[in-house]
Amino acid sequence: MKKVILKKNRYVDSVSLMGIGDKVKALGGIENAETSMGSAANIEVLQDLGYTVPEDTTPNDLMIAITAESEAKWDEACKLIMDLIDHKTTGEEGAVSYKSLSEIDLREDGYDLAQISLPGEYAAEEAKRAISMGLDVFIFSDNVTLDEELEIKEFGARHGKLVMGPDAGVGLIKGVALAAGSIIRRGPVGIVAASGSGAQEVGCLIEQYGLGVSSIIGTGGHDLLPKIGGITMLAGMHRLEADPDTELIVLVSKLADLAVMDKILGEADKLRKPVVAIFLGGNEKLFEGHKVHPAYSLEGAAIEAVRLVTGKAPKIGFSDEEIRAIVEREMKLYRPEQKYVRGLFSGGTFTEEGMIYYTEHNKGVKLHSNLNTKYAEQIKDHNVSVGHCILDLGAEDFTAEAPHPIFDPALKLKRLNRELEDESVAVVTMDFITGPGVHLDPVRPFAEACKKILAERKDHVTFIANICGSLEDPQDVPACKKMLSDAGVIVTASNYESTKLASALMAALENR
Amino acid sequence: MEEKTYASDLRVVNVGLKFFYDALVSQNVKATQLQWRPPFKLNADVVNAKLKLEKPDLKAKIEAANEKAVGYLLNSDPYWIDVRPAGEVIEGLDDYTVIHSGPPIEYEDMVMLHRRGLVSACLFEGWAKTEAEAIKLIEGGKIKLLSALDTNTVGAGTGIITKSVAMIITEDRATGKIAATFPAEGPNQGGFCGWGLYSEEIADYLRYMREELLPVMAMAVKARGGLATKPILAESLQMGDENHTRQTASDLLFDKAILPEIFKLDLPKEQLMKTINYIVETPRFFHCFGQGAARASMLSAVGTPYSTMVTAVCGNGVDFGIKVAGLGDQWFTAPAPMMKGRYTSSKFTEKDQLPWIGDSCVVECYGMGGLAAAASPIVCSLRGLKLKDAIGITREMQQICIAPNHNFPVPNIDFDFLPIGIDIRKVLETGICPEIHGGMFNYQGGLIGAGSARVPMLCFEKAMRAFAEKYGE
Repeated sequence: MKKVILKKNRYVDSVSLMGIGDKVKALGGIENAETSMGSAANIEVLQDLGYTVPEDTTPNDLMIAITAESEAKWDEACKLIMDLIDHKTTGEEGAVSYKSLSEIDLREDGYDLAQISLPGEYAAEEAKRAISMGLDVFIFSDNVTLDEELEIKEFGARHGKLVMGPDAGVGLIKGVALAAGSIIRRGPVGIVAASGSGAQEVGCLIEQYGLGVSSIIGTGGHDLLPKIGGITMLAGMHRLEADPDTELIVLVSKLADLAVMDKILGEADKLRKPVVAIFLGGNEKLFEGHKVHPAYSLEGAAIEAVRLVTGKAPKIGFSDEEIRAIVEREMKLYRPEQKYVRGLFSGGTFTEEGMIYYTEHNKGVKLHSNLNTKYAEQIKDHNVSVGHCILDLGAEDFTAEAPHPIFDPALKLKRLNRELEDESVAVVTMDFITGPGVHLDPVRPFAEACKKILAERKDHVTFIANICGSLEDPQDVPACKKMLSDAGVIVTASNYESTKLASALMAALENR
Repeated sequence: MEEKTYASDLRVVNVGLKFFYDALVSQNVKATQLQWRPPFKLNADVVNAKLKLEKPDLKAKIEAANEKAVGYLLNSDPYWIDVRPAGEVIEGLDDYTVIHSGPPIEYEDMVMLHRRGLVSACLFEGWAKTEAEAIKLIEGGKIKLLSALDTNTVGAGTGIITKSVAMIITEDRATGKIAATFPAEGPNQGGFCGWGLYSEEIADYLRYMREELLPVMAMAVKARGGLATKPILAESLQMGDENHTRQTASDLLFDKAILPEIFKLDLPKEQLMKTINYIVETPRFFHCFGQGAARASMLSAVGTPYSTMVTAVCGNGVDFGIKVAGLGDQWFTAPAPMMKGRYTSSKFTEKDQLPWIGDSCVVECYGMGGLAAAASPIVCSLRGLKLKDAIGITREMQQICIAPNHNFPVPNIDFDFLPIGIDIRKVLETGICPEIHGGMFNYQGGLIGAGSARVPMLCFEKAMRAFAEKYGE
């Protein structure tokens, strides 16, 4: 395509016009591109190049002459020329950068979701702006007040937009992992979760069992508080009910307000699609009078979901015999001073799942933790472990001093080395979390540390680890597992399996 | 152009941690990283008003309206065409009507300069013979007051204009809109219209201007077929003028264009010389032409439905007001700010200074003055600012304007374009208020310095509430 157009009465000085041609030719598919004022001499130049110059051209008009391989290329070149003379181009060619959500014109540059990880004080306003524009929001930010959370969620409800978070760590929408989530294979199970690591664990296990996940809708940890009343969990359930890719819905939360949980379950009863629910730490009573399929561990929720979809419950994890054999083998290797289990966790829900299990299965054993919970005695100094000590390294007392361990393993590694200096430690159990938004090499330093310890020390420490992650994650989960196994770490299929094994060792240590 | 294919049809705007954006890109997801910075904190009701404007369909209408409104300014073609009495060109300026600067205000609330201006107006027009008579007339409600920026004129200073004052007439030849601005008052510059001052001498000089000096100018400009004023503004902006506080270059360019035409007139040399002396000896002579160009261009934008562009910025010594295109003739006011700058003499202090009075910020609305700070570091140096500070101010102004003004590239920002068309949304978004240049006024009248101020944020907050009320759901 070869054409001249005019910008009437548009003066641009010739110095500014120099060099435009070369930039336009860099687009490719452009034979030549001339931008000049309509003087007689310039018209002659264009005519020599074979252009037909409009008759009404005056010296006050800007002429844009382009020869391109297609009309689309011609348009592209013309737009670039205008952008160059209007100074609209940014440093990086073609890259548009926005300073504010308001600058984005969704008709020209479409988006569906705003992922917000600003400091909490700013998150609410940006979230509401995004909702006004017509975007769903995913809010990773914490320190958003409950009042603001309620306001955002009600605002979202009025506009028919989904509000994930605040304080949502994990999400998966249309196969895209959000924030710290894993890229779980797509499949029929939709998850709505008030617990990020819990949702991630259920999803990754479902993938391990051969199925996949349609969405993970993270509600944030406060959604089931009475003040919020589960606005997002309810909205998420309804969104999944309407989603043609979802066959079954799993609800994941820690134990929450009884009335809110009951409201959620009541709403779940009305759905056409089957619902599995876990309120970690809850019991059968919660589910009385409701249709939903209850689960009591994250692994259990994944197994139940797969059973309901495929008609067959998957078999995984340790048998009782296997556990007995491991315990017998390990117990022979400890010195008499080695007495305790230490848990180093990055996922809050994993910490809690462990403590709930120990409380139930290791009755009478005193647990310690940095968390303030009914399951354990809180340690005085979060930097000094006591007895059987289960630490949530992602809790505020740690993250106030160092980055969260899923983004930077340094804190956890330092703590591992500190635990190993403690002669009373027999077992260390750890979780690892993978995904495109977290540290890209989270396992290697630990595998190396464990290997070194096991080679150097005359006595023995049992290392137990599980990786919460999917096959698509950039960290290469199978390779990470192999790295840990090769270092002498017992790698389990899930946090629940790790906990079972640690619990058995704890019991054996206590009864020695 | 080949469209890039993505792994998912989910498209994400990432607001915050950059590594979450990287994570999206690594998944081959269409994503953009917002270059976010902490917003200006507003009252909740203003935030909510602003949110109403974010709805896609309304936002699209606003964007289109702003493009249209700023288009009038960008594509305007102002010409000085004539000199005529104010009453012939300003609608509603009849007997017993006085125009003043700034947002509307009652006589009782006016500063002394305005009150005195009204009295002067009655005397000048012969509606009263004595000051006492004039006051009686005014207090009796006989005098009708008009805000200059509710009409097609501009009230620089006190902006006292009555029907028989001779005005410079500017036509926007792109639209045919006509604006009238009063010429500098020669030896009494600012005497009547500017300061509202009246004496027999001043009145005589105004009449002399009207009868003797200005008709010569009118003949010259008509012989020339009108004088395009935008090219003079554009060129002078490249020569160190910002065309509010400084007109050094534009005066010369104007003289160069008009003096030869005056020489050509078939009139006695003495008569020509009187007019020529008036033109060349009056400092900042081109100011009223710049204001005329700005006002004539702006008239088309006034009342553009859905537009959030500011069409007027002015003060009356008590209140400061703005108008917004989509809100027609509604005023949004706040207490008038004090200017900061340099006094002409060390004897003056802030105590002598009047809060902002005058309409000459029409030039800021047209993308000059404070918005063009970078063009005129010498004006900024009045406040002890350096070149980089002047550039910084224009860079700030770019953040609150609708468009780059391709008419006005300036050397100090590497021929980047000056911004034009103040957008109330962007002011509230960024917390950056428009920079305005101007002259500092004495309470008693008279210029005591020059400096700058910022338009009060309160004006924009009020305008935003009204805009959301009118156009939001």
